Amino acid sequence: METYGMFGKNHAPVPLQGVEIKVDARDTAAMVVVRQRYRNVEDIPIEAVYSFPLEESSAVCGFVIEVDGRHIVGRVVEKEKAFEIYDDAIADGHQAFLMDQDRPNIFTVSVGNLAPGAEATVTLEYATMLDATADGVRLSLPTTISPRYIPADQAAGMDPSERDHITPPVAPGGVPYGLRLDVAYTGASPLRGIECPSHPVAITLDGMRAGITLAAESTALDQDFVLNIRQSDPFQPRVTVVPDPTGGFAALLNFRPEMPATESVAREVVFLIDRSGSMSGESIEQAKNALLLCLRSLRAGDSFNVVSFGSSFESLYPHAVAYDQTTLDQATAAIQAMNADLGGTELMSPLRHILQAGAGRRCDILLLTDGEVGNEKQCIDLVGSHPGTRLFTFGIGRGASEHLVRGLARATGGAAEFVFPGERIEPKVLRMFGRLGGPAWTGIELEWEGLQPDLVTPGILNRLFGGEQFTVMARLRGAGEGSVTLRARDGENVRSWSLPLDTSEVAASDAGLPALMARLAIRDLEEAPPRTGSAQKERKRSGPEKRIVELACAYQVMSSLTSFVAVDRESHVEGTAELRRVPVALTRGWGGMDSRHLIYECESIVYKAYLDTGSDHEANRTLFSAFRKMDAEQLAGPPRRRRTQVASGKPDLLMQLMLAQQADGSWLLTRELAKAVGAKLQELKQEARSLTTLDAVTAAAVVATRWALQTLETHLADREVEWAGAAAKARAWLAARPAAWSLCVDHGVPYDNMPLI
Amino acid sequence: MMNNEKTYSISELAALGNVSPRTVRYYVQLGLLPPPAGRGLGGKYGLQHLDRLLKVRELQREGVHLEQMAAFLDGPEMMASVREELVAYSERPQLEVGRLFRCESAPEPPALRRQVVTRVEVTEGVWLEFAAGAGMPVGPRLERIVRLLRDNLDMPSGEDKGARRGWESR
Repeated sequence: METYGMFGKNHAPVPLQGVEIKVDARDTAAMVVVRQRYRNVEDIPIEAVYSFPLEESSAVCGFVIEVDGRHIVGRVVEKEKAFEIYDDAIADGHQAFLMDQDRPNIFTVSVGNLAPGAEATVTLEYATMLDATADGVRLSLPTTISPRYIPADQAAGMDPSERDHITPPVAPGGVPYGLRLDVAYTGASPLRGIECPSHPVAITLDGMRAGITLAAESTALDQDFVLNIRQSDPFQPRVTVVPDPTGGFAALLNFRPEMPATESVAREVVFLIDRSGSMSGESIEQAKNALLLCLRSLRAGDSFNVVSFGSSFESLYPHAVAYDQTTLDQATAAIQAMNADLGGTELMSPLRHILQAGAGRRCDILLLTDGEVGNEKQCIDLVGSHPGTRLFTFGIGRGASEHLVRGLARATGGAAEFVFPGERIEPKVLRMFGRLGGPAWTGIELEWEGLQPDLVTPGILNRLFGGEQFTVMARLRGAGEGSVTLRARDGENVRSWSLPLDTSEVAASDAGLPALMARLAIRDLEEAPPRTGSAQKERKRSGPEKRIVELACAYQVMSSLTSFVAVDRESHVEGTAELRRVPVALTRGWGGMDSRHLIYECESIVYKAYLDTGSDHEANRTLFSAFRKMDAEQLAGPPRRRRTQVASGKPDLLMQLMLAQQADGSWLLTRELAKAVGAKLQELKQEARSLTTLDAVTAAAVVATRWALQTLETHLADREVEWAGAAAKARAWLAARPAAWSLCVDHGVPYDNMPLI
Repeated sequence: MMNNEKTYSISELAALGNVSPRTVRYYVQLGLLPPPAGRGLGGKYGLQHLDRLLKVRELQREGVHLEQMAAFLDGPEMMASVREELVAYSERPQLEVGRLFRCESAPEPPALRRQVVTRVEVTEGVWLEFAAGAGMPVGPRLERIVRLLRDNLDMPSGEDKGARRGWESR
């Protein structure tokens, strides 16, 4: 066997044998157990180092090692201390185990001094929240770390071992270890359906319970595992109280703030689309489709701009422009011509540009990206320091970086959605636009009565969307009864929602909730914007860093400043351990590559670019034309121009209709439209001629619009939630044309919703 | 190491080199630093470790990748040629090549090296590739070949964009 690259020693087998994941999910939270089996088949001791992703809100609260029939329970200690214990144990000839958090969603396990022939099973346990969707929950388990773009200036300053962890060696041809996965789900109401867009699975469904298993015996760890669970009655407001290991109780409060749809104000939206090389293939096509739909969700009075970025960025207009037919057509043509040909993922520059241009106004940024960058923290800090701008993010692809996509939304009071290849984009886009159009709550607060918490997370309440779950966790030191009121203000408009709280209704098992609460409280501290003037030493001694370590150690959870360490004191290993970095599989479809295809050369991970990332947009563009060419040179394998079918092979009727709709809400009478609505063009033209009170152009549009609407309502009735916005625009357009109204009546079209003139 | 020579613990050495202790260990594992002398808590690093660590850091700042580092660490002549190379390197946009690793059970990729290939798009999903030196026809001859292919592949008409040169790679 041969290996390539200086890090893989020749003839060194991969020590990781397999990964097993068991998920026990209830309602909106889950406990996940991950077992990694390592074996040293060599005749020298080895140090196996494996970097892998977990969900970014994971509260890793268990680290147990089984080796030679012994069970060693790891403990959480301060990060540097943990490494010292690990390093000393290895130097003393013991087997030792270390787990570090390199990013909130990237972890590294080091199995040090594994003796020749020895086998070790590392079991880690974490608690996590499930993502709320429009009609249920979504479970997403990342399985591999995609190659990411690290800006040159950051790469130079990054600690080499950290950089090694977040960019593990990639085995484009696949890895010898596989995944087994089991999910048990218990809902709070009967389940209506389960869909797994990522993998073939076997599903058993029984009322409120479901069991999901991967159909294959062993599956490649090359894309996220995604499960959408639909429930008949999701997200009822609920309170769960569990005992807290540090005393008192931990409470999980699920509010569901309902609010009537309000007249929405004109919006300024900047669409920011990632065109870096890693988006090639299905990701860019999916992003483009989402973007085209987004454009059509805008209304008259809104303004928008389209910015695309890679190593450089391009702005369609110098400033945001009014939404009308001309700009819609221009933007549509520009988007359709887009390719993932802009090189690296330099997200900071376009963000800075947009934030500067939109300064002082209420502006929303809608970002579509796979998020494979190394400077997540800098990007999140940047957007967090610009109040008034919200980021709504779409994570695209089979291995989008959850931390960046969610972190940007969290810091700005926006929201995040993930779109896996093959998943329907429309509901997600429309849901996102619902949020964009809603009121911007200025003051969101919680009022506690009867019981006072000494720890509440999220610490900053900056986002609230009507009809969506709003989750708060809190630690209560005392017992008793009381209530919690959530209050939100938008100008004069004040709304509130209350939940009762009673510590006598304590659940039998804690289901990992205290660990989750600690993790979320730690995240608040980790993501708090750095205070100016506070020296790093000061932060360490008394600031948030001290608090993070205290919380992590008290609850025994992982954080950026603490690690799990375990030492097998009974073992004695002779000789010096050699490093065996466990390679990871290349994310399927990454950079347009099908992992089954041959690859001549792996795409670059880091651009060696000494560039001013300032605002000199034009200069950047010129400089980067050279890069674009190089980008194309990187791969001599699978075609980067290949179009990947996103959903099914057949064009989606809804998508076809939505994309043909004009900015004012009408449709044009074309051959394509006639075909889509199942009529003959000649017949429709004839019908238009009968509308004698209208000019020919308007008459044709009225007929086309009527047919399009009718097709939506009859053939696509089950997807009303997706086209409701488009239909409202069309009805408003028809309503402004009296002759159109009579035509509808003549044809007996069920226009109950049609506004009377 | 002499008995009375100055020694450092791993954290002391790391602090002096402005890296994390994990990186010191990582460098030892990569062979960029010699292993510490002695075992256990007595495992100590000396001046030679510090010297070497600082050299590694300097080379890194100058843009040498860890993968190439070992070859660059010995001798002043080597350093001089590294510098020359680095100057040339920084003067053109450069890509850092991702680390490649192939595992036993994986099928062998046909050629893990850059190839000179000119690719001509016949139509969406169909390409014609010419290796360098294979005598690729140009102009009307190429167009004829492409048209012939299209006609025989039963391609939709009206999409005749003419033979287009795709991208080349070194």
